[in-house]
Amino acid sequence: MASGKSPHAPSWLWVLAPFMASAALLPSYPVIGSGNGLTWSAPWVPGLGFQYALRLDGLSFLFAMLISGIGLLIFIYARTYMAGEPGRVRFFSWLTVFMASMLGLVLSDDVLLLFVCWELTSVSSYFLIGHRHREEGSRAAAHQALMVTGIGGLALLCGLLILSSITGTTRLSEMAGAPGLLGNPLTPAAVVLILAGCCTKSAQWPFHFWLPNAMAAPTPVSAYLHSSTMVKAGVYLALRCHPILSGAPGWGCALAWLGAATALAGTVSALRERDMKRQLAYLTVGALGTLMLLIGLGSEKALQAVVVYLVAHALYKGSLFMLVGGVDHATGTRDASELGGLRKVMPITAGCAMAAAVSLAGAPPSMGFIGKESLLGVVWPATPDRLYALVAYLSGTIMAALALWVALRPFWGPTGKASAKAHESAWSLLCGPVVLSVGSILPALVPGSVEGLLSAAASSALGRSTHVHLSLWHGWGPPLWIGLAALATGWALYGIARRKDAPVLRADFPGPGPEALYTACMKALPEAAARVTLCTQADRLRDAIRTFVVVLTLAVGGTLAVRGPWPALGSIAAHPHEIWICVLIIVTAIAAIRLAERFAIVAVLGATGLGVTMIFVLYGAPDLAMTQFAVETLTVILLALVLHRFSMLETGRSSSGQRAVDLFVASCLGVLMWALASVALHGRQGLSASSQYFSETSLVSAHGRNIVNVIIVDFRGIDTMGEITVLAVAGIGVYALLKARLPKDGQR
Amino acid sequence: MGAWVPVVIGVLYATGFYLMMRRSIVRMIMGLVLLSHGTNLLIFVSGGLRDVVPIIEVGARAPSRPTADPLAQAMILTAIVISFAVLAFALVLAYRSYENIGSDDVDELRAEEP
Repeated sequence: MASGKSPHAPSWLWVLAPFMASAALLPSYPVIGSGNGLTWSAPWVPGLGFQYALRLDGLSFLFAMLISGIGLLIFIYARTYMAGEPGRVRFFSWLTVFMASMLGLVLSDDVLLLFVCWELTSVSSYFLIGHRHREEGSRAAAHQALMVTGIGGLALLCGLLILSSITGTTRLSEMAGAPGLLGNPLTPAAVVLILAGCCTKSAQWPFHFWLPNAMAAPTPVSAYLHSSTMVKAGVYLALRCHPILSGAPGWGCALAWLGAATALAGTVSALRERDMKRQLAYLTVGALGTLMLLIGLGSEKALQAVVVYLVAHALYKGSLFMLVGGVDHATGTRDASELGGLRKVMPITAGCAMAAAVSLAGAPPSMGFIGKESLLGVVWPATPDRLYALVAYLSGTIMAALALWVALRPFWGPTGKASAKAHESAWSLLCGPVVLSVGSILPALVPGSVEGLLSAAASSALGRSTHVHLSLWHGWGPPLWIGLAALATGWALYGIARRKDAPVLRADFPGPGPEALYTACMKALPEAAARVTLCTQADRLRDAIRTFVVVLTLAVGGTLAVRGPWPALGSIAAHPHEIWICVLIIVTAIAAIRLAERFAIVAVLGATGLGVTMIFVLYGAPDLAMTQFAVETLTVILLALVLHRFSMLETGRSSSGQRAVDLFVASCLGVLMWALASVALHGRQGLSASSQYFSETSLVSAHGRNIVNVIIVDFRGIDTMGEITVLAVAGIGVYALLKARLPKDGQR
Repeated sequence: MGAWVPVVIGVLYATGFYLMMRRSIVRMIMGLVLLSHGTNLLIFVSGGLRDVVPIIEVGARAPSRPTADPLAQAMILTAIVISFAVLAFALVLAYRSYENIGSDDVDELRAEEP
């Protein structure tokens, strides 16, 4: 701990990080508001064209303000929330790493820098979800989130690299409108890969399941990473890529369909949960889906609606998560049906929850209402999009019902069984929710306060200037009727939930989903790996050797066949004695595998060695010939000495089929080695540069005429030293083996 | 001769690896011997086949004609000695396991493992 005085509460120093970040960002607002961007860059990998390029425009500014501003509130909240928990320093370190990498993500203009920050957010999310690492559930959830977002991150990397190779730049700001982008055959691949990255990060169906499970994290993490910021990284990237890829086939259509599916799947799944955090997480999934749907529609009004909806969601959802965390802290449960009557003891919490819930339900006067009206205003007028209006109506209904459930059920009615010991949260736990709840309502009443900020963001996403007009009154018309109808049916749905006092849907509704598939894959993967390992790395040495030979033959032989050079045959002409030597080696080597009598094998092996010695004699290697001759003599003596002590005859033999397979495999390798030797022999003529050097300096520098000897004792003297050491170690090993007496069986 | 030595190398590798895939430990060790020969020859031919000994004649400062490759020879010299050391060690190891287990069959060795 940094501060020795307060052992329970983490130091205030941590709070400085988000505070400084927001303080540093705010002065640039006038520049951003006037529609300009700030850029900064420094070389990183100049050879590949990568730079530390940062760019602050309207969209980055909006996200950066959300990240640092909500971050500040979260840090203050977490300071109290985490007091008394072990590992606080670790927790705040990762929270700070996350904030920094998230800021880097939204500020980076270089694709590789963006990817690095993207991955860092996944990694810090992993550690934050798994903060209570002694709990099995936390570890599993952290692992799942990392797997899903990590695989998506790899896809994103490929997509971004394809994109930058098509456009010829690594700067996102220079990619829009690059010639040839839309007609390029690789563009669809880039679209699919980038969408995979966005959809895994932003928990789009069918990758959404990791987000509710990530609620195993401490509540500040859920409020910060998994509702307001990190899960919006995918939305951010989709917005960032919108000016670049909106014309590409499939971009808008895929985003809209995935978004609509996610909006429905997320909100419907929320109805089967008991835990308020998980309910809110599923609603987050639904809201993220709605955002993607709007980006997919891609019109000017749609992008305006995106920024409004996005800001509204970040504000009310951050507030609600922190409030649920406060209730959990005070009562020990997050199941609303066990609570009740808390408004008497927790009046501020109850008030904030009401305000945030108004925004979540999309009821006036709130940012959520304006967001929902803008959404309906986009999807209703265009006839082909009316199906999406149905999606918006259904998800709005469920959001309204659960908003009522979360804001009313714990606070009204008779005192619940878990409410007895409750108390109002400390001010530090309340300041975040108060600010965010007020933020959910106030801008709707004073629209001019945020219009500039939102307009700048929408302009960046659209690629041209646009003005976001916030208004609580859009006039009579279908969007208003649909919105009010959603509120009414939401109220009815809340009534059903209230009467059941339990989740509306069964916990297993509607049967196995994508998560079951993920679990099955994660289970099958190690099993398949084990099976492959068993096939290729058998625990019998000769099977391992066979695998090695097959792989070597296929890999090297295949490369040689495809790439060349094709081995030259070379000249057959030779002196008779040379041919006889070669024939001797070949015949004795084949005899060594055919013979069964041990001493006969020793004899033919000796003959093989002598044949090799003769080749050394013939081709200018007297030192080799002498050494080989001496070693060959020793080998024969050693083999004869050892073999007369034991017999090979009692050894079982492999089946004849197995021997045929082995012979075939070994022969294939023989052919490959023949080819390699031919290539080596006929490839380079003359000495290599190092041999040339040794030849020329042998006498001059080392005063020796036998170049081979000079190399051994002088140029590569340390090598020879190593060789002598190996020999000595082998000698000691042999001696020890012969002297050591192992205990017989039964005496161990 | 250029066509012959590569064939010798191919045969040494094929027979060496065939022996290494046998059940008898002694045969595996003999495969090792053949494999060392093949590898030494492979290094030898990659320096080129020339019959001039890499020795500087008296009176000259450097070889006057292209010689056999001295570097390849130095490496093979090291390899010959090391492979002999490995052979001796492996052979004694096989002998000791035969003494203790009474067999030279790798499969029976496996059965002996705890």
